[in-house]
Amino acid sequence: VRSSDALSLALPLFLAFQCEPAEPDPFDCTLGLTTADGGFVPVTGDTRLELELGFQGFLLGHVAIRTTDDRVPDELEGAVSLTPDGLDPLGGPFARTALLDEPDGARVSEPIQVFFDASALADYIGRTATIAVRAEAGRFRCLVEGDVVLVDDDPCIHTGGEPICPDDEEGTGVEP
Amino acid sequence: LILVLVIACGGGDPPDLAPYPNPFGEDDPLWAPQPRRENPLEVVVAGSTAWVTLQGSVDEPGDSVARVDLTTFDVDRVRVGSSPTGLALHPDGRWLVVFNRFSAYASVVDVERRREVARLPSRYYATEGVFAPDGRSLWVTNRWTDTVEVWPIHADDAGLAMDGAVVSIPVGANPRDVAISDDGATVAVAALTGLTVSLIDTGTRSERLRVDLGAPPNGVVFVDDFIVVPTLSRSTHHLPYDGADSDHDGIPGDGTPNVNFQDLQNEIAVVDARTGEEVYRATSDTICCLDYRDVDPRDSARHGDLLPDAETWIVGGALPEQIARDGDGVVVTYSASDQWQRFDVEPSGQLVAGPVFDTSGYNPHGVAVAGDRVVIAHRLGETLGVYDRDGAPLAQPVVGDVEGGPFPATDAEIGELVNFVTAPFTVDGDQACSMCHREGGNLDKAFAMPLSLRPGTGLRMTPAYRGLADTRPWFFEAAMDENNFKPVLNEFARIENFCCSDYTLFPSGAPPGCAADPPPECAGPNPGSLDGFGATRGAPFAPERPTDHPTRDRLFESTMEARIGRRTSFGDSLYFEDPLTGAREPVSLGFDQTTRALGIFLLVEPRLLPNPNPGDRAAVRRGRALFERSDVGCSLCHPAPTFAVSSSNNPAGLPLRMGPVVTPNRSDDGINLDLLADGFLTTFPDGEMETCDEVCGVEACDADAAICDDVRNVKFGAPSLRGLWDRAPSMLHHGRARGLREVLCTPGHPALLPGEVGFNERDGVPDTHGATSHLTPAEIDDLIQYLVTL
Repeated sequence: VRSSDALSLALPLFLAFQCEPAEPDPFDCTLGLTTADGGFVPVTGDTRLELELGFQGFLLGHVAIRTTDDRVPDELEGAVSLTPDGLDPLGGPFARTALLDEPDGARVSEPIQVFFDASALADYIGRTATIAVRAEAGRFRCLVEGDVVLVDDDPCIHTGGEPICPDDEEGTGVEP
Repeated sequence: LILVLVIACGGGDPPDLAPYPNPFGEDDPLWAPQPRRENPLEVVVAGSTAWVTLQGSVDEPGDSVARVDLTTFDVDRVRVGSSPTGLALHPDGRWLVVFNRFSAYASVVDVERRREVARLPSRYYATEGVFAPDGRSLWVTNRWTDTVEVWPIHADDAGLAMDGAVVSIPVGANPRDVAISDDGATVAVAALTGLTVSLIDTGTRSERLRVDLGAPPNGVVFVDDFIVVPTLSRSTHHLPYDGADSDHDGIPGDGTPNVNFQDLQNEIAVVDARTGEEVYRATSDTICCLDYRDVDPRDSARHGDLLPDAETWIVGGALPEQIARDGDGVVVTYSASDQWQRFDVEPSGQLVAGPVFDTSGYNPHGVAVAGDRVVIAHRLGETLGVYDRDGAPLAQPVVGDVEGGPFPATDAEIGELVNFVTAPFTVDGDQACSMCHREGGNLDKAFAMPLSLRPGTGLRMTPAYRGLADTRPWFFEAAMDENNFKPVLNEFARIENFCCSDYTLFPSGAPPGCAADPPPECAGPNPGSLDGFGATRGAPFAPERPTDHPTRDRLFESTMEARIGRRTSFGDSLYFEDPLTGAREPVSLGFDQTTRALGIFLLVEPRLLPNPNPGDRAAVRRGRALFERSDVGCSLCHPAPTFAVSSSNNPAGLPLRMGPVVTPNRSDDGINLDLLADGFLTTFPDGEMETCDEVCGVEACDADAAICDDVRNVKFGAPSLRGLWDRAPSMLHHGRARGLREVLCTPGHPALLPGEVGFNERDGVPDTHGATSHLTPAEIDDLIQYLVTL
């Protein structure tokens, strides 16, 4: 066997073994929601996910993940889905989501947004939804899912500069 | 043999400009192979044939012109230079000059022998041209130098040749279209970015007048003593606001303040070429009619009387793009709504509108009239449309490239369609992304943005959409990317327009099943809105709801089906992915997913115009050294190779957003007009702004939430410097600086020319945008020389 032949045989073998994408390392994470004061509430099945009518009338909810694995880099990307019972799934990719330190040593992600169809707000309310998240950071990956109940407890809407609440009738054009 | 090879290889011509490398590749999950397209652009008719430039994209430029026999509709091609753009037919009808924007020559094509017979040396970015009636001079616009050039021409049986020295005449920024009067005495040059039309005296070869249209002149043609210019609205049909003078006309309050983008209109200006006076301006249906949030012209209480006369609302399509003379009238293409229309030009200059016709191909651009036919290049459709005078399509030969399938063939191409043919997806039916992002660039004017805390006053320059894959997150606020930049498209079809998502009608949500079975409330006029001037409940001028679609997704999906014959994505880049299993499925092309498709289009190619400025000069080397010097500090926040801090390019580990480096845009009483709406920050949490509590304390802010609006600030990203050479003269986020010298210099810097202002300061502290106060005027010049090579 000439050296060039050996090389031509060895190279594909080398590449075959060396260039297979490595399986990501799993890490443990918990699915939850962030509260208004930045706290983290784990999703437990009856957790209530508030749908917020936000800027320009976008309807959205926020989820988050929490991890105690300090091997994981500080910035996440990945995908989120939210499937209300009996309705089409929502969600999509997310990126540049930081993991922020908590006092107890864990880290909680910045809120991961899920945009809803604003025209179907009433269809969502009270419905159970399954959330799934794939969070990736470097070679690490976490897969997690859980159920929530979709709610609209906040009586205000947040479509502009200031929240508009039912008692703000004057000048808003919105009936209480 | 060597001589033959040199000729065959185009020896002697400087090399064609090469595109920037594309950082968006197979390792990106959104990547998918894209078909090659040739983007037919301009068209002229010579005898019984039409000639069409096949410009290609910035990153895959074309190299041919197509010839179409208008009798048989057979198509063949002639090879020319790189990215052929404009065409000029010599008056004798035999020689066609093709302007190759990425080549340093124009091609002379013999239309009889159907081949390139000569090359006229030119500077890069020769764009469009027109011959003098005697054929002895050729007037050529140049995007690189912002000039119109006079090429002396000699014609003989062998072709055309230069016959003397070229004369350059400065005009507005990024000149594109050019026309000459019948008597040859006046040349009109339309500066697409500069928003002006220059009137050149051909005798003295000097600019006689510069007409400020306040909007991009998308084309220009002479009709007797008038020039007729397809353009857009000045967006000044409103009360003056306290916002900045964004167009530098000395009058504060520009942009689109009342309803954000809603008062963008499509217009055709008629200007007396002798005096420069605008004698007539036709507009599209204005902000009064179709969007219920807008103001009725009879509603003087809300200043409807500031609107143009309703009799001028005769422009029937979106984005009047190119124009051709047709006897005593003109024919105009509407690139953003796939339409065209003819107008008579009355002796007074008034336009009389003919019917509006649909084109048979996407994104109509160049237009020519040949007897009883109108021929139109369908830039995205890859075809040439041939129409009769009643608008009936007679033929649609393919002149471009459809080997990869008819357009659109990928999800990125769906996004491209929406970018350029936006109007069918809008509630008004007459707005488009490409109105402000002309050819992917920007305009010399700042606009009021929806994200502003004080609507109508917070201005931003339009960013050029170039080099986006490696400069995420986007916009000055660095708060969005391809997944969530919905507020922009949202402005064209806000959800309040759609009954089932109208939160002013149903603050707690529409009744369940609203989309399938709209409730009775959906049948009547919309009662109110919280935005802009906002009609209020019971107002006598509240018009009917502008759309029958109960939801925005229905509008998008049905428009997609009508336009491209599908309601779902191809799934090559735009899909729903199960986060746990990785299974992917195409998605419905509603609003959210269409926005993502648009984002994918913005990613797949850099679209950075190849830089013609040579980098191997001493001044550039000195400028680069200054740029990289630590005591000047440019490269810290604008690091190579993107010259931006982004999520993929941040060698110093800087925050993606930082406080303002120049004085914010302020009202007369000191309020920071750059501030963002709180709702924007809630919905787009990557945005950053100092809170009132942080700056002034909880107690003071509880008493008055606006008490700190003069001292708190927004945080901005460091935008990319690539492509500075091609940008509008107005610079910085608010557009107040005029050119790079004003950006770089501190106030009173000796490098400033008379009348110039140094903007390198923040609230009186100099050197906040890099340290330049210690640089000499020559060093400032060197720095500029370097910046325009990026």
